[in-house]
Parts: sequence; structure tokens; C-alpha cells
Amino acid sequence: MEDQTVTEKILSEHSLQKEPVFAGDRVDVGPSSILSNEMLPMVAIPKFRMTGAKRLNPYFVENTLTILDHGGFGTTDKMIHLHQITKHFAKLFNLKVEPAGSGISHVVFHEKGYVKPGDLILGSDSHTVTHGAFNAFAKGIGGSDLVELMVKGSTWLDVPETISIKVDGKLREGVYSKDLLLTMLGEKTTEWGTDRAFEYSGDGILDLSLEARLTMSNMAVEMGGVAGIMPYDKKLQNYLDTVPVRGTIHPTTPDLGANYHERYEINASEVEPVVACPHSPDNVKSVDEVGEVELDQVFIGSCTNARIEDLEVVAKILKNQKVRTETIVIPGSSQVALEAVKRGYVEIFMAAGAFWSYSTCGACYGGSLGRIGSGMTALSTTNRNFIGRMGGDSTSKTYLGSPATAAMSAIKGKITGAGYKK
Amino acid sequence: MITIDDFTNIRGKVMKFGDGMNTDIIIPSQYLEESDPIIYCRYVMSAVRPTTYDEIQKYEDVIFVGGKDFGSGSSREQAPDAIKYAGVKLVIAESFASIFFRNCVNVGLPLLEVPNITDKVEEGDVLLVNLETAEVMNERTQEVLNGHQIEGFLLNKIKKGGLIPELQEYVKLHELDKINN
Repeated sequence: MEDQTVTEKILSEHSLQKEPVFAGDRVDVGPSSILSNEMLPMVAIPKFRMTGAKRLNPYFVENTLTILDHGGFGTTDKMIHLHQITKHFAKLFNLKVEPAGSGISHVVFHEKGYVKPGDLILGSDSHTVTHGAFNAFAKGIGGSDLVELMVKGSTWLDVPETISIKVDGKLREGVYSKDLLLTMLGEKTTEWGTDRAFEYSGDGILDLSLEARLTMSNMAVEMGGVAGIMPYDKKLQNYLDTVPVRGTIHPTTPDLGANYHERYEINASEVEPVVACPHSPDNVKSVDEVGEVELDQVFIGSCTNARIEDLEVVAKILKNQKVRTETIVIPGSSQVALEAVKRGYVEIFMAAGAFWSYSTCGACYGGSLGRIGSGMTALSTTNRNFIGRMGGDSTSKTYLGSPATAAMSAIKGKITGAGYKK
Repeated sequence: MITIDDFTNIRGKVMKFGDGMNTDIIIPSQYLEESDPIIYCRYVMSAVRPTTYDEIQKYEDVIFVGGKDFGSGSSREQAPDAIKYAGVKLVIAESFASIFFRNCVNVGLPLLEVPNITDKVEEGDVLLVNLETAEVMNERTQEVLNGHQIEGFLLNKIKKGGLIPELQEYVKLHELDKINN
């Protein structure tokens, strides 16, 4: 058999035809698990009703976890209604739902063991790519695609070409995987991976923690990609040992002669702290280059950078300091929040004058907590800084950076790197 | 030559947008608490052109023309639904983001990739488009531009009106509309 990429192997494994597939093939697939969120009540339930179906596919019921993360808890009458619709529908069809406030889907999903090496994950959110960090092929889909899974339990995918990203060297102190990802994004733009998958490899990747890898897989979609797959190793296995993994893992490596569309290489040791400037995540400048940018708000949270390691970085910087800018810290999940309490981080955040919240997507996409208004400037650890994304209008500005840059900038009241200097 | 006699031929007035029209611009999140596209389509593209919806209603048929990476960002299907329900007949762009492209097919919104279209077409131009051949004629300049042909599998889905009509047939065929089976 011809050599395959990780993408081709995973899609072959999950094809209903059970035949090897290659880039350019179209394949019917049954995903290992399915992630859903408020797209269920907003789009999928109404459209499911339009199909006339009276039953949900049992495979969908078995393998789907709905996590109400976008709307916040008890925020608006309409959102409360949408959450009530979800619970009602879930009760009717025996679907599993994590209630609003319990966490961000892309954190809760792996905490609950819904993703493992070799999996094919589909989710009604573009940041479903996050789960590629588990050596899985994970892809965002739309609301109608979710309806197809509700009705048939399967859907079709085009097997994408793959771009290999090999990272050598180690990140310097004060430089994080967010900086590495943004650096590549600045060079290659948001169109780089259109219709293609990314596969990460190299010593520089193996050197990163699982959490740092999750940040990079998460933002594979900002680089245009349909997936961002990380290698399997001991660090990943150590995490898997702590969660209730569903079924057997299938660690997947590329064949030597696998065909890649592009082989990109970067040395992590040359990366500096960077921020993405308004209004696109590929508008990247080094923190030193960006000049004097005064901030109205700092947002630390989201599926990109709100896991315990991110909060640890923030706590180290905020310890015995005061924030000069309104700063909100939103943990990735209730589990992350509890751990942050146990480790004393929350006390540090609050003593520094930062606000601490329950877990939700919040203002990352302009949903709730921490929205910005007209003319305001924010620094955020999130993934997108499009016009109006965090609220406001075309005069509102969002800069994207690492949790370290966010924490240091909160103390200084303006965009400031943490530690590393040329 | 292109004629206006079947579905694959669309004639419409151009509303022109630039590069990077992401889904947060196409339909900002604050309007998504409303599930009905007939209501939220009112806010289509309002982040960059607040009068978009009203302008669309003034013309018989409208074609959106955009630059690179149209529809990047969030997987929200409400983006193509907002464009479709606002009354736009077709979206032409130099390139589309992956999820948005598939969402357009799924909601039955015709779309076409045409390289350099923003250099060749001005706001208010009238275009005659053959979706099968991916030919676009600008009536003002009489120039014919060649886009990327949409393969039959996807074009058929668009012609059917997207995924939901297809699933309606599937549900009937497999009697999923019956409670006991």
C-alpha cells in the first residue's frame, strides 16, 4: 500500500467503505465523537425539525457531547431560552449536555475523555481543530452538517492535502507556543491552510507541554487549516491516563514516504514574543515593534489559552503586583477553576485586582463577560481579533497575545512583553 | 454564449467587498441569539456596510463580490444563511475559507471562485454568470472571466437547495419520520 499521512490514515480508518484513502478522495465517515454547543439550539434543532425526522441516529446519541459554552450562564432572556430548548431536546432524545457555566467545549471535551489518538472528531465549532493535539483528526463543521449526523450518524469529507510543520529548537524563556503559532501565522497568513490539514512534528513540538500544543492546534484554523494534528508521545499518554478515555487508542504516525503538499520548518529558539494587531490574527508584530499601545482591558481566557498551565503563567507574573487595566480571567472549565483555587492562583488574581469568573467563552466572540465597546482597545489571549469580534464596532481594537504578555500588559497598562528581551 | 434560461445562469448587480470578509463581519455574534434567518439577515455585512440589507432590497438580483479568504473564522452557518435570506443570489470571491464554502453548499447558496475578480468588476456592474461552466460576463466591459468550476457533486447539492431537502428525502426513504420502526 502507498505511504500515507496521519490525516490519510485516520480518515481511512474511519471511512465507512473501510478502504485506504488519499488526498483528493471523497469519503463517507462515521466520527469517533461529535462535539456540539449552542449551534444545536440555534441552527441544528430547527433544521432537524425541517427534515421531518422523529428520531435521532443512535450513533449520534451515543457519541455526542453538547457543551453550552458560548452563551454564558443566565445572560439574556433569549440565551436562557436557547439553553432551555437544548435541555428539553436532550431529555427527549437522551443526549448528554454539560450545562452553561461548566466550561468551554474544547476544554471539557478532552477532560471528559471524548478524544484520543487516532480519533476522527467533528464539532459544530471552528475551534474543534483544538483536539488535533491528541493525535486526532478534528475538524469544525456547520449546523447542517450536524443535522446530517443527527439523522444519518455519518457524513462525507474530502481527504485534504497536508502541510507538514516541523519545529526544531526550544522556545526561550518568556516565549510561548502562542508566540510561535502567531509568528507562523504572520508569515503565512490566514489563507495558508485553506482546504488542507496541518501535521506538526519535530523536537520543538515534543518539547512543548500538551497544553502548549493545544494552543497551536486550536489556532490551526486561523492559519486556514481544516485540522492541526500533533504527534503521540509520553506527555500525551500521561494526560490520557488521568481521564476516562472512551475505547482503545490508536497512536498514528505518518509513513516515511507520505506525500505532503508542503514541508515548512521553523526554529522555535528564534521566536520572540509577538502580538497580532487589529483586525486580523495574521497582522503580527513583535511586542517591541508594536510601540506604545495603551489598553482599556485585558482578557485572559478562551479555548486557546485558559488551561491550568496558562493560569500558572499568569499567576507567576501577577503575584504581589497590581493590574493597572481592567483585567478579567476566565478559566477554561470548572475543573480548571477548581485547580486554580487549590493552587492559590485565584487569590493572586484577586489580590492583583483582576476579576475572576465562572467558565464560558465570554467576550472571545463577543458573547458575554468582558465585551469591549466603541473606541476601546483590548489585549486578549484569544484567537481572533476581527472587526467587532469582542463587541464594539470598527473603532474597537483587539490585540492577541500569550497569557504572559497579557499579564505583564495588565500590570503596565500598555502592551508589554514578559521577560524576554533581545 | 451565456443565456438566462436555466438555474445555472444568474444575472445580478454587484455589491463589492474587499479581502478578509470573515464570518464575524458577515453576521456579528450579537444577532445570533435569534434563530430565524429571516430576522437576523437584516444585519448582514452591517459591520463594514450598515446599509447592506436595505441596498439588496432595492435591486432585483444582487451578487456579492469579495476578495481573498471570504468567510474565514467561525463555523457559523448563519453567515451564508444571512446572505441567502437577505436576498443575495450568488457570492463570487477570489478565494473562500474551507468551512464557509461547505456551509454555502449546505444552505444552497450558489458560490463561485474567480481569481482577480475584484480587479475586473466594479460596484454596480451587472454580471451574467453560468454556474456550470464558471463563466462570468461583465456586461459593462463585455469581458468574460473564467472561475473555478464547481464539481457536480457539490453543484447538485446547491441546485437541490442544500442539505436539508436532501435529508428530507433520506428521512422519508428510511421512514425516520415514523416513531416506531
